[in-house]
Amino acid sequence: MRWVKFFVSLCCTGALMYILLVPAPGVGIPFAIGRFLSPSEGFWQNAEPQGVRETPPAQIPGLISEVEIVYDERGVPHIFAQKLTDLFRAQGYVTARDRLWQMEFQTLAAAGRLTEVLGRGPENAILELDRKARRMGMTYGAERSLAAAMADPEMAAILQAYTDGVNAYIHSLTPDQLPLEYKLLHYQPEDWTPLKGFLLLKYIGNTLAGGSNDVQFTHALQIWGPEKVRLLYPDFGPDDSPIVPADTRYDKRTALPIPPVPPGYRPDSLLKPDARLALQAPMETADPVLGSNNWAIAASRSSTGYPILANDPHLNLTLPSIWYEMQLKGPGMNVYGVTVPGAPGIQIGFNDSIAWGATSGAMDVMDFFTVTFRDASRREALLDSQWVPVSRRVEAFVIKGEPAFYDTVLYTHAGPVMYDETFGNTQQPLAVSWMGHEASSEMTTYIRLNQAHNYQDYLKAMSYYYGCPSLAFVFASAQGDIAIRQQGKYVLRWPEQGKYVLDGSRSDHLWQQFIPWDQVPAVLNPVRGFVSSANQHPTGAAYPYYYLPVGAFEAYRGRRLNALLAERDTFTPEDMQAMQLDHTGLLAADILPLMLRELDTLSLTQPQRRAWEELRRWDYAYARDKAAPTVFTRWWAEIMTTIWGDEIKAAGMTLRMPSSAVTTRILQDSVRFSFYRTVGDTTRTDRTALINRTFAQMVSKLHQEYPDSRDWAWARRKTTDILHLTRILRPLGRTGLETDGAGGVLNATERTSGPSWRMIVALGPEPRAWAAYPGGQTGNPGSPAYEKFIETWRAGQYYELWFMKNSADPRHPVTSRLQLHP
Amino acid sequence: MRFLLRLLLITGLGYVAALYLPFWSAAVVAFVVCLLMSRRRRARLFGRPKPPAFAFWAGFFALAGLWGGLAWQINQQNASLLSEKIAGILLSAIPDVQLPVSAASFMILLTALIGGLMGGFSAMTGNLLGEAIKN
Repeated sequence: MRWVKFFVSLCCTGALMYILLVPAPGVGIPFAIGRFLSPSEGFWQNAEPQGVRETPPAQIPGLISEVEIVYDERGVPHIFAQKLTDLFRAQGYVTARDRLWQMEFQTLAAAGRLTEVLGRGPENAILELDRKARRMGMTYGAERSLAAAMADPEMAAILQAYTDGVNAYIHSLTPDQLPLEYKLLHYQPEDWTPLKGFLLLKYIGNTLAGGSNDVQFTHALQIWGPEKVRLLYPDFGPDDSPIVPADTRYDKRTALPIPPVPPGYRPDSLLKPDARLALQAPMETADPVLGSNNWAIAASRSSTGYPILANDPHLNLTLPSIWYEMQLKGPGMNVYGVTVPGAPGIQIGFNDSIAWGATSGAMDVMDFFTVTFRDASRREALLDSQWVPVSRRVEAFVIKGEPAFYDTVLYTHAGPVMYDETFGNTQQPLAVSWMGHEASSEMTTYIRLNQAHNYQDYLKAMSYYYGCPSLAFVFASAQGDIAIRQQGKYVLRWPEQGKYVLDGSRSDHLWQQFIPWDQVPAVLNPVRGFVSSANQHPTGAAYPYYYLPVGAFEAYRGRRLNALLAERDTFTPEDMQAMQLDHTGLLAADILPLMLRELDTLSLTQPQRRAWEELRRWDYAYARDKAAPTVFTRWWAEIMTTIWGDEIKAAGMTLRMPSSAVTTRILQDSVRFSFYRTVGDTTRTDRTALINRTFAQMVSKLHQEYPDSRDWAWARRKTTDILHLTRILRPLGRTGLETDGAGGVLNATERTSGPSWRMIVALGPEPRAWAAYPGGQTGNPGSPAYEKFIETWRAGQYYELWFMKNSADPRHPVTSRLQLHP
Repeated sequence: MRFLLRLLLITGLGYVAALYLPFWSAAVVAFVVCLLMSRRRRARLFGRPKPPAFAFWAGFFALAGLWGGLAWQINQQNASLLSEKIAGILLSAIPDVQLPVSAASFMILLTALIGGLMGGFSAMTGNLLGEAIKN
């Protein structure tokens, strides 16, 4: 009897321990309850005490000499090393110490391995995301870039040192020190590799240049014909205010000849009706909300007597932030700025002689090709009159808690087959050529910029940037030079090549030649005394090469920026801050006067009058306490949907909505236009009817949803969410921020995206800089520093950055020091 | 007396073990302490033998107190920053849940309960094994 009691008790205890030690993802508990809740090992260990963090000295194998790291009161590490490899080893270690989980998670996303830690997701959402990354060839591109970088001994040494530094941190971790997300999702960090750094760059390349409209434009051509397509999707806008002044002359003699349009080219004949991608196909186009601003003013126009440079990249806002702030001082370099955790060096910043920043060049560097296979085995594909072999890469997807999923990706002469019957739902296999597949050395560019002292060094750094994404690198030096270059590798296109789906069985449709790196749009010390970019068209029509935008080059921010920069003679750094926070919207300025003029105001209802009054008094500022931005944004969306939405829906295939600039131009020019009428409606609809009807519809919906017009305030209707990187662990993000700004204005703060790093650098013998980003230095959600900068950023304030001369620089208080020993 | 002794031994040794060993070492401590301190039912030298429930509660309160106390202390220093986020994640599956206590207290109580169950069952099993052997 006693033994029976014992065995019953033993079984109960065993069952309990099983529950406490083994995760049960099937019932929504991805972690082991006992371990996770244990105060000695679980999440409690990630709950950092308020106040200063202790930093005991650490030993890093492979260091040549001692490295000193000073943390300032904002948690920014300033690293001081005697040897270059020591510097990057320390950078890897220090970055991992604050951001290890994020570094690894982003490389998993790039490599299409999210299912390993998140499972397949609701309705296979995560698995489909992973399949897209693999079918796009992200890892393939990263492997090729790594091989190219490793051929350069200096880069190979830097990459290896950084990798070793990260691994020194990973290997020092005890179970209780694991970052929180590993505990929550129950997995372990892998060893870092140089490849992961390149996966990160491809991840960013995919964010900024992983889109294309080829299929959408081809559909539009088939439905609406070439004339309409040219009207709806023009290559140049009416007011582009390009990056390179439109009156710039180009030397046509040095330009490469433009290839001829291939004989018999018929872009509307390539996609057969049954091959059209279904509406739900995961086609990606560039998000028009993402973009950036940067500019620099010449010394002659600066209150300080030296150039001033500003940059604010607009990206998806996440916690932990995409950026990590740090200073690196080693032999021959002393640089401050932000780094993408996982990539060596500083990506945006300044040193004692120069400053630089980047915006997305928004170039189309992704083309789709139809593929003609010889037979159902798909081992050979047609090229001109020959059958060429197709290689295959079997991709295994390890899914958490489930058997693996396998997908075979076919690599043709035109790139991997991204869409087919099993992905994207099309009978016509489409291969993708993406600039991200090319071996390129962007990483070298950043290291060279970190070390640059003058314009010549900048130019040398740019010569390495022959890849993707296309970036407009702005530059200013203490010597007084300002410059901007839209750098990247671009296809030398025949006119409209790549705007529509191309024929992969013809070599004259394939990518043959590229624009040389030194013939990209560029300006040095222009007469107007400033250089700027905001994702608009880089050139005027005189530029010798054909450029294709990835979405639409929207010029609103660029126009506003250039107008502000031309408005005054001299600028102070504070003026630069005001410009980054400027939220005047030119779309509204362009079109609202016409909309109000056409509006019949004699018989307005009470809420309609209220909305009209708000708009009538509006100065086009997207300020958080105003109702007008809400009313206008909703009215404009209603107009866009009424003009384009019904036709797109009726077409039943994936199409791109024409831009706001195109819609504005059409409304201004045409009282009658075939798209104004709702599909199926036989009554004639002119512009006046359209404007009045959409106004009534918009107000009725708005009033129904929010009867109290105080709820129409912009900040209540457009709240900004800074989501956790996983998106699913919502409590680890910060939601509901009331912010000024909007997409399409300089302060491009939207619902989930916005200025991810606002930086202003005043060059001089001792450079001064100001910045803020919406996050915190540590990636630990259990630390008070996790969201430390968000309120400063939200309020449009800046921190002055502490650019130290040496580790004993007495001008600022040091919060803690970390010593790294060999 | 023996109840208190067991409770204190499990708490103290459990705390020390967790400094060097994985979290489940506390369960082993509870098991071993109650195994060693179990007695034959018939012996009446030091008062009446206790039923296994007493071992259970000694183990339960020892580790519930240890885990709850440590969690409480960490939470105080952290100003409930993380416990509220974790509670948010754990409760996100249940719509419109209303906690009778604060999110931080909920996490501390949950931690104490899990620690307690682990300690209680291990202690009871240890005690029963001891009794089975000694009889």
